[in-house]
Amino acid sequence: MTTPRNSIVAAPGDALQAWMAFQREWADAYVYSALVRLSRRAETLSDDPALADRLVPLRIGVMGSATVDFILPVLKGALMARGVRPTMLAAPYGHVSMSLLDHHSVLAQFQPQVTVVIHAAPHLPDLPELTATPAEVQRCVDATCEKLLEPCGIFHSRTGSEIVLSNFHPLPWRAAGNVGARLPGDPISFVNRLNMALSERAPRYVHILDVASLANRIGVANWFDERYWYLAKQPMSFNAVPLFSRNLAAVIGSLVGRGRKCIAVDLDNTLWGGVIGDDGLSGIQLGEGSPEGESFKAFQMYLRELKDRGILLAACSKNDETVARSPFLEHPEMVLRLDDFAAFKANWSPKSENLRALSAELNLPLDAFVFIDDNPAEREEVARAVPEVAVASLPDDPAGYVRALDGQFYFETVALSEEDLRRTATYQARRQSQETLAATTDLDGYLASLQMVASVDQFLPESFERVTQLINKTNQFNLTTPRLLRADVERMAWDASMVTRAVRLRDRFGDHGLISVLFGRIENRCLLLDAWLMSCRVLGRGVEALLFNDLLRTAERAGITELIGFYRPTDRNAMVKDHYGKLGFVQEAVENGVERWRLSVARACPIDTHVSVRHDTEPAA
Amino acid sequence: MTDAEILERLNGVVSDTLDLDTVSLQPSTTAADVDGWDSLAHIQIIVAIERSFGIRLRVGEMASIANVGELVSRIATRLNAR
Repeated sequence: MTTPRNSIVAAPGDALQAWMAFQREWADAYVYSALVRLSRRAETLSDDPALADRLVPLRIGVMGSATVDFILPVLKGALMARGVRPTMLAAPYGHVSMSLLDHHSVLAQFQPQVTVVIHAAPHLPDLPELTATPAEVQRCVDATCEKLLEPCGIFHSRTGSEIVLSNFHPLPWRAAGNVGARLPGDPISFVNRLNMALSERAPRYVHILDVASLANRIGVANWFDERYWYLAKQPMSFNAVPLFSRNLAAVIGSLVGRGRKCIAVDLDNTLWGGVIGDDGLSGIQLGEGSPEGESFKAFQMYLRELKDRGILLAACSKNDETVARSPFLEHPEMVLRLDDFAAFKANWSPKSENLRALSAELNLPLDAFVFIDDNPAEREEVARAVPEVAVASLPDDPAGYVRALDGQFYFETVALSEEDLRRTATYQARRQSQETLAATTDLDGYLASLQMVASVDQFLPESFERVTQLINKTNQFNLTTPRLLRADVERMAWDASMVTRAVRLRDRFGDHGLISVLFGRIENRCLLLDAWLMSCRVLGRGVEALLFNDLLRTAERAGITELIGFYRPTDRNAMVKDHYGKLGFVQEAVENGVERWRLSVARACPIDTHVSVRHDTEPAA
Repeated sequence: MTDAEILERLNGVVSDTLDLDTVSLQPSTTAADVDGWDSLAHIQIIVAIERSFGIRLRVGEMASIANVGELVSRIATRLNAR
C-alpha cells in the first residue's frame, strides 16, 4: 500500500551545484522532519566522486545514557553540511561505561575516530542530599567526574579516539525555590558545580559539549520534554535536535579543521545604520542614542570578541575607500578600529571579486570565509559566484545580528592556541612586510632585510595542538593533504621510526609562530616523506629550503641514503606540484594518483636560504 | 473537525514523516501495515501530529496504538478539549 518517494539523483557534473543547494537549504531549515529529509538527500548525493575532495570521511561512534537514535539522521546531515562524511555507529542505549571499557564492545571494534557521549540530565548519578554539606557535595562532584571521565581516558588510550562529552542542563524545576541557590546540595547548584568541574578536569582529548548553555539558548523548558523522557528516554525534545546537532557537528568539524577563519563584513547598514557616503558622519546610526545605533554597536562588540579569539576580520564594502575609512577614524562610538581588520576592501567591484582578492591577499582558501552583508542581493551574488564562501543569513533587524551569526556556529575550535590569540597582529605584520617588498626591487635584498630566524624541532608536547591544527587547516602548500587527530600527532612524536619536524619563524616584523610541518618514516635507509606542509603566510621566504637542508643533515646523521617524497594532487595544492622537482628529486612513479619522487642523498646539495636557524634547538634525530 | 477530516490530515502527516508518496490509512490500519512505522518513527509521527493539529497529547496517549482509528479518536479528544 505504500511506495517510496523517488530519491533525487544529481546528473553527472551537477553534483557540486546540488550539494551547494543542499547546504543552503540546510542552513534555512529548522523543523526536524524537514532536516531528516534533507539529510537523506545529502547522503545520496555524497556518493558522487565529484564531492570526494570536499568531504572528510570520519568514523563516529555515538552513545548515551539515553536514546540517541532519533538524533542521528539530523546529526548526519549537519555533519555533511560542514564537509564531514560520517560513518556512524550508535552503541546500545545505556551501555556507556561498558562500551568504553570493554575491548570487545561493538563500539571498540568499530574503532571510531570520534566518540560522542550524550548524557541525560535526569539520569545524573550520585545526586547529593538537598541538605548535604559542602564537603559531601564536593565528594559527589569528584565521584561523578571520575565516573564520567575515567572510561573516556581508558577508551582514548586504547583507540586514540577523540571524545565529545555532553555536560548537563539544569532541570526546569526547583523544590528548594530560590533558597536552592544557597544550598550546594540543591540539584541546580550541583549541576552548575559539576559542569564547572568537568570543564576544568576534562583532558585535552575530551571535548565538552556545553549542553547547559546550549539549552539556555532556547530555554530549558523548551529543550527538555518530560513526556519524551518517560516515553522513550529521549534526553531532549525534537525541538532541540536541530540546535543540538548543528552545534555538535560544528565541534566534530573543528576536530578535522572545518571551522571558518575569516569574516568578510560589509559596512553600510551592517556595522552602522545608514550609508556613510549619503548620510555622512553625523547621519549614520551607531552607539547610544537610538535603539538601532545600540544594536549596531553590540554587533561590532561581538565581532571584536571574535577577532580577539583569532578570527580575522576583513572589510568588504561597495564604497569610496576614503569615505569608508572615515567612520573608523572619526566616529566617537565606533568600536572596531582599522587595526582590527586584517584587510580592507572598499571599491565598486562585485563583492565576489573582492572575496577572491581577499583570499589571495590573506592567503586563505575561499572556504575559510564567512560573508556578512545586510543586503540579500549581495548575499545572493556571493552565494552564486563563490559558493565556497559561507554566506551568513541575517535578519532584517540589526538587533538580531549577533544572535543570528552566533547561532550558525561557524567558528568552533577545539582549543585556542597562542597563534589564534595573536593572529591579526601577525597578518598586519605580513602586510607591512609586503609593503616593504613593494619598496625593495631586489628579492634577495628584501629577504635578507627581513632578518628571519627559525627554529626546527621534533613534535613536542607544547606544540601538538598547533601541529594538528596546521595539518588540518593547510590546503595549498600541502603535498599529501593528510587529515589527522591530535592523538595521531602524539603517536608520531613518540615513534622512534618517524622523523617529525615543526618549524617556527620570526622576522623583524613579528613572530609567525609554528608555520611548517613535515613528517616521514624511516624504512630500509629510506626516509619516506608522508607529509610536508606550510602556512601560506610565509610563502616564498625560503622555509622549504631550510627544512630541506635540515633533512639532509638528518639523513647524514641517521645513515639514510634515499629521500622519497609524495605528491597527491587535489584541487587546491597545484602550487606545490613541482615542489620535489625544484629540490632535485626525480619523479619515479605514479600510484593511485600519488606521485612518488626520489632523491639520492649522496647527490644532493644544501640550498641557500636567508632564514637562519637557532642552532640550540636543532633536533637530535 | 470530523473523524474523516482528521484521518485525511493524518494521512498527510504520516506520509510526510515516513517520506512515502502514498499512504491510505484506514481506521483498521495498524503500524505494522505501514512501511517504516517502527517505534522511532512512531515518536516522530506523534511530534508531527502535535505540530499539525496544534494539540498536546498526554504522555499515556503517546505510546503505541492498536490502530489508526484509536489514534484518530485520541486526536479528536484533544481537539475537543481545547
